[in-house]
Amino acid sequence: MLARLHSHAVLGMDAYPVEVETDLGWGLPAFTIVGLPDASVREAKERVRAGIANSGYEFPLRRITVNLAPANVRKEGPLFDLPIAVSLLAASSQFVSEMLEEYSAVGELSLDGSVRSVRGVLAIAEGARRSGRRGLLVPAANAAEAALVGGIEIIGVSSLRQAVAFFSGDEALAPAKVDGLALLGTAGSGQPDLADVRGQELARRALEVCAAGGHNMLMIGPPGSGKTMLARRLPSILPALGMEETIEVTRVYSVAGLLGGSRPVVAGRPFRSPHHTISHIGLAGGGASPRPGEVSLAHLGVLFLDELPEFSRLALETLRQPLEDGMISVSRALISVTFPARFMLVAAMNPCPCGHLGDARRECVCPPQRIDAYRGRISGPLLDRIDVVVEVRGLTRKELTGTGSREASASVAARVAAARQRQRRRFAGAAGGDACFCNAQMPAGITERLCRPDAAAVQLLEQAIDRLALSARAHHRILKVARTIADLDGAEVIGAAHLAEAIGYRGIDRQAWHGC
Amino acid sequence: MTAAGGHGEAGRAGADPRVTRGRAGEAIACRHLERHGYTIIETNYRSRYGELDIIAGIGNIIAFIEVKARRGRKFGEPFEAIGPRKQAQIRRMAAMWLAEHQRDEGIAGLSFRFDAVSIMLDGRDEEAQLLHLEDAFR
Repeated sequence: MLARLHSHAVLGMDAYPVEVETDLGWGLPAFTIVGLPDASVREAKERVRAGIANSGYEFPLRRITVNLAPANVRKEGPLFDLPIAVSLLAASSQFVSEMLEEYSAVGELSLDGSVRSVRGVLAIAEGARRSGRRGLLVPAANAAEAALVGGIEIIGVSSLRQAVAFFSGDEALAPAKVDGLALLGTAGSGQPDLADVRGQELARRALEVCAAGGHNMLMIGPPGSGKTMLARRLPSILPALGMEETIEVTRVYSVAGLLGGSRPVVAGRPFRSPHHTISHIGLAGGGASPRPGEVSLAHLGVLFLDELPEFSRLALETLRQPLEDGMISVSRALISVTFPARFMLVAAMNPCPCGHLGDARRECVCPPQRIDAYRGRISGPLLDRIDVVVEVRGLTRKELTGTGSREASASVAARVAAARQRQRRRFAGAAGGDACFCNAQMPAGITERLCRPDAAAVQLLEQAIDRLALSARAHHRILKVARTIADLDGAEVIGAAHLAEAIGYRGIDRQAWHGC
Repeated sequence: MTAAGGHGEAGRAGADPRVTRGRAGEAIACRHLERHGYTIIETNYRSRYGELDIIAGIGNIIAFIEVKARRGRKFGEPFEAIGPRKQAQIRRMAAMWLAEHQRDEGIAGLSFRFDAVSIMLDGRDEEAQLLHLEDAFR
């Protein structure tokens, strides 16, 4: 009259075990769920009742009590439907199984008894493996993401009947498998290609440097000059995600509930471009039981902020923690969770509110105070975390109509990959460098050791420090970017040319920026 | 709006046309149930909450049966009259009945169910149409 089945619930990026106990007692028919269920869990009653009846089983005429243990943690979401239904059928002896103890199950039930996808299945699969389960029953639509986690049998089921048949041994279901190599192979398909971009040699080069060193980037240029187009093509020149990284990204999307159906896993680098009206919560993540925001959905990919000054101050300040630490903490009244958020920031803005300051073909109509106010919306600390600032000019007629050959993403990507390879080798050999993946992440202590300019470059750097009144931080940033440029060039020592280009990307340094 | 009379009207049974109609409906329902293998255990069980129309047994199930008799559809389908409030009332009454009978022999092996019977009556309070809804609510 009592049956138990293991299940799991998602909290932040992790899953914790929940035991579903179902007791059938004597008395007037009733169906009670205890264990701090929220509204969506309480509604499981109706789904389970209909799902059981419509699968051809009998809904027992008993006093039914379901306990979700531990009883002191709030439970939310429809993922307990399947374990509740299975344990109810077991408690009413509608099937017999020796395996209830070895497997856990999650899934939402549809009224017709089919199993619908739920969020966080990848995290749940890891949790199930940690708690030593032999296997995990998941909705068939979530089987691929769950199978990314090795070391545990993933059984995809599409209906309650199938789940029961599996438990009772009537139907043998093969554990789901993912072909990692095939998965990674599909990553680049369908991405826009750099070959589509006309002109903009400077910006293309800056994009390549940023990709090679993982530097954050700000593009300033008039409307329609191709800033968005360039940014969208950044993922196509970044190195492909490895298997571990694919799991990391997929996990974020799984917890956010963005997987399933046509997109079982995230194989390519994400590109997120939230609109500038986004709230800081939308950016950081949140909710009573927090879900990842845009910064986390861009994890290991690109976060593109078009019209940067139009974002709310709060939203922009939210970016500081993830830019610094590669993660974001979201604290709510009852819980505090941490989401990963290691992304490349690509921002774009107009040079002034009307967009035509410095445009050769159109006059800017903005009063100077408005231009100042416009630029002032981007705080110094945020600007400090952007290594490369590049001006994107409007295209000339010749460039617009020209048909000159343009380099495709694939060949740029090859140079980027080679540069990243050099960086990895260098970090592996350096003390304290093992936490870095690319030049942009170099801590201050290592920067000076690994970025050695030659004599001519040192002289140039000293001049620049004097003339541009560079701060210590700006100085480091120039060194890092110069390091990346040298890596693209295949040079171990930073030369004057590398450094000059890097200084060029700081043309709009803080004095100049606020001075004009 | 209810067709079957509540408690307290018993003394005037026969005087109020609603009570007459209710009693007629219950009698028709009992005949129907017996024809279909039910054993009538009790009718018009009184409690402080009201009255349970019929308590009947079949197999290892005891059914608490609410009877609704109507002359026309002017006030909607008879079943519609058994709303959430009426259901809660019936549950309470059933719980009381169960409390009184919990020491009866063999009751531990039984299951319980709530049924509803809807009867359309013709002008002479004779059965025109009867619907028995098993497991009407829980």
